[in-house]
Amino acid sequence: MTGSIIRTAFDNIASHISNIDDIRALVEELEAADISFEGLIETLQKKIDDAEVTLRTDIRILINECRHLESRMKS
Amino acid sequence: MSARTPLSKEIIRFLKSKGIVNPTPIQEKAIPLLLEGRHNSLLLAPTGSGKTEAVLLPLLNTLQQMGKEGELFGFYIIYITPLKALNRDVFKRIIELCEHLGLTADVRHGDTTQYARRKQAIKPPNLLITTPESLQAVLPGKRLRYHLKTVFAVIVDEVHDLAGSKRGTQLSLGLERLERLVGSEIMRVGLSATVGNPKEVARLLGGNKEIKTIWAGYDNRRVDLKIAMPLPTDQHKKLARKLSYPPHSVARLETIVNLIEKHQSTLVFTNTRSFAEVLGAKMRALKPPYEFDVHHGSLSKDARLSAEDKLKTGVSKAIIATSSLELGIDIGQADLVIQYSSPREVSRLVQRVGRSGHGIGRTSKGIVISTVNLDDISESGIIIKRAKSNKVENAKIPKKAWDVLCHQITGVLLDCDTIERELLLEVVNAAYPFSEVTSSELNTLLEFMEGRRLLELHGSEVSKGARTRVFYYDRLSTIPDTRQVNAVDITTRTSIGVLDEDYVSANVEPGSVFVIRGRPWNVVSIDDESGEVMCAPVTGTDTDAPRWIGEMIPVPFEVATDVAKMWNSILDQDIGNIDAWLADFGISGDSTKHLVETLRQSKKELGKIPSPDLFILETFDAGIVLHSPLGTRANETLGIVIASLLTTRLGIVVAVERDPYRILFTAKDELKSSHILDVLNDYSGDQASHILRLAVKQTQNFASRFVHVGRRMDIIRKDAKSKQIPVKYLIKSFEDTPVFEEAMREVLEEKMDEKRAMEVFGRFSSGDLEIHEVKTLKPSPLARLIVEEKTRFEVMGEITEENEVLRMMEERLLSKQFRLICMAENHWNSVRTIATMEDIVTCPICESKMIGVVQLSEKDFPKLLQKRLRGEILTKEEEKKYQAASLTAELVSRYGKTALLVLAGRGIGATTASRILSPGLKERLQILKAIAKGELQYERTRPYW
Repeated sequence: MTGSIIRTAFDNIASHISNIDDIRALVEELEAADISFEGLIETLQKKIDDAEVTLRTDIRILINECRHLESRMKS
Repeated sequence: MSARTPLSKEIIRFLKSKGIVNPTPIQEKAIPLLLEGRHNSLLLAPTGSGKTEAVLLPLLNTLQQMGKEGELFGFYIIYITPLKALNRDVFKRIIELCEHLGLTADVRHGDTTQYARRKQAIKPPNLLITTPESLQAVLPGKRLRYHLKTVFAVIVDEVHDLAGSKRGTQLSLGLERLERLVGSEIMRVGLSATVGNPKEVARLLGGNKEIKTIWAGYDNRRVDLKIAMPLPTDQHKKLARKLSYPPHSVARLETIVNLIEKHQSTLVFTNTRSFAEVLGAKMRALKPPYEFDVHHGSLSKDARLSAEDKLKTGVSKAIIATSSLELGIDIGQADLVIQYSSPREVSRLVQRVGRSGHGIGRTSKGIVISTVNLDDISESGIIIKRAKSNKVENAKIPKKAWDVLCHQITGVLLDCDTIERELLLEVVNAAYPFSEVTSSELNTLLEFMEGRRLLELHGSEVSKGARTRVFYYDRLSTIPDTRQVNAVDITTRTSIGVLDEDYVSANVEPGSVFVIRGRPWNVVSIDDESGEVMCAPVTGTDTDAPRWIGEMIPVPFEVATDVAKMWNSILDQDIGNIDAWLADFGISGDSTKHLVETLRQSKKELGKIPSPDLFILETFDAGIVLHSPLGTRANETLGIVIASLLTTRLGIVVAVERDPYRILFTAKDELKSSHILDVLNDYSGDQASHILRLAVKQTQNFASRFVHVGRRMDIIRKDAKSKQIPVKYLIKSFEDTPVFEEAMREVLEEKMDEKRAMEVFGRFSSGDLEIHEVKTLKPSPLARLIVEEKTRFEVMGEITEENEVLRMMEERLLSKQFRLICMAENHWNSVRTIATMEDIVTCPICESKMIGVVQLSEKDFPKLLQKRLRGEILTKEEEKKYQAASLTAELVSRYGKTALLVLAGRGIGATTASRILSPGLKERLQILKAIAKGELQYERTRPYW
């Protein structure tokens, strides 16, 4: 389930981000990890800390989109 | 805020800490409604009644709640204002509260640095304060587009200002695009103090969505409005000579200076930028005991900010401004607003006077300084009366503006790459100004755009083309792109303002002097590449204020017809009742006297006074005046159509001048009033409409609009200089295209009133409109208002004062010095000022009237003359000089001092002077007008010399 969320989120934001290769690699890594939604957000938030400034925004955009998709699925 | 206000504790606590405990009327009504969410609304309340807080408090409250539920990342509220300066003010007003609530806010407009923009892309502020153009720039941005997806509310401040122009039209489609991007409905809130047609403005804002209009606070508003008409004293007359300024103007100037002194902080509004400069320069010459500044849109940002800050901090006591200070820019608490001459529109007076006594419970105080002119006094009175009952003009929303649609279609394509024609039409129709665009009209525009490679058409699909992005970003602004050049102070190397390129090329050269920021500047050089005008400050009074385009404010139909009704009512009043009756219009004392006397005299000469149902056709020696109180636009239209029909039917070439109350026709051939009546009787409104279009096509106004539209629609390079554009050829080549149609629509809708002018034809034929014919020996007092105004409009722009420009020009001419030489004997060579000369100019030694007039620099002319008198052969150059001087001598012998006056005109040499001077030219005003015409001719043709 989280796999499809992060993949859909990536597809939605791909045209808006600057570091597409880095984000793609991150999405593939998390897709394979098969973790819960909360775990997914937590992992992404941890990645923010070490990331360079533009990559940090891209990750935040990805987190935002995942949250958006999740809340939409719930409703 | 009251306990009933359901705002969060943090907000209430913050407001209490600022001493705010009670909501204003608009806040009381709007806050609960906006807290419910999903209510599109138009908030209408007087200036200074807390509209910004009325909308932002509930929206920030909602945003704060959202922040508690999850991390905020993106733009959530977009606050749009028409001016960058307003962006800054809103930011200052709200940032403290935002920070208190843990929310972020930032400004983004044309002056925002790259660094700040980048920061916003990385960390988007929750509240983005921006201009309509910057929103357009953000919409297709890669990152920013994503950040926009979280927007839940858009606020449009001063919506009336945007509604009447293409900026509003563009914004309405921009909002539809934004909503498509977000994917759900956005709350739209408009704010304004002065809207005549709220329902229509609400539709502009909301498209086909419902919008609630909320009015509040107009009943509590207190305004004190009156007219003053200063008359000159002997003291003023003396001062007038010193200042090179007419006595009447000096009287007004001194009244203003005294009023400023008696108040804490004053805003003086003029109707044009050039007059703001003239007034500033003359006021500075009077050396008032306080500081003041000039403020208008053509001054540099730094100069404007410094003027605003100086007034706010009490360093200066006044600002002389144009509409640049009309909107809600924070300039602190002004306690008086002075309007120089009629404000011409009700909304303008309401906005301007609203700048004083800003705040609930305070009184707005405004004084209109009127010239000694019937139109000026009565128009100001009607505007004051209408302003008191808040009868402001409707915002004229441009519909089906093809240049805006062309730009927005490229925007839609940047948003989604490809779109079905049907869906595109749906998006377009959702915006009110384009709600009636048909599929066939859209297709015509799309084909035009395809021809310009702005998009690609594949069957029913419309896709992005090679030039879509470049075109979109190149033409974000719909504001007419008049090329402007920088004026730079050479001593400090700082910008002192911008000048229109047209003004510079026609009037400015090294050595010339002009006024900007209320000070005279000497032009040192003009940079060939950048066009920058390098200047140094000078002292002096004989100076020109630069002219800027787009300055004339039209008087609306409603005001003009009310003025005529007022004239008739005044004459119907009992003498004892007049003062009390006029008090309601803010008119008293000398202005009442002037008004009544002028109207009585006019009725005596004309038999009747014009009204909306009774026009007067007055014939006198120099022309015919149709007294038709229909407003500027309707009279402009009527004048053009009648003149064209006279030319077509009778072959008479007719010149037309118009003002809001009358039209002046003059012709070289004989023109009879029956010609005009026949035209009105024989043509229907529809036929006249057709003629109007044919006539408009030939006007300079249309050509200039065509160039602007052409630039916006990509047929003219954006950076092309005016002189390089083959306008006539382009107009012919692009007839029947959306470019031509748009230029025509602009002229007809913005400059004309086709409907009302055409009605005149129908009403006259059906007997609904009476036209009273009268012959006068000399123009009646009402006709003189246009006859004597004719020249000054051509020379100077729009200083609305009786013969002021001619008088100023006369002073200039009289102060001119020439070298006078006795051509007969060559024994008299003297430098003389014209003012000191007798009417007949003779040599004091031999009494010959053959006096040559040469420039002061021609010191060696007597040597040349000596050579000629000795019979020696002159060089080609010398011969030329001799011939010119001989011609001037002939003119002086025939016309005396008048010849010197004519020769003193700018660019008027001996040959031109000989054309201007004629035995019939005797009357002072007539002579001055002829000189003004000669000067104008020189200015127009100077580029070709």
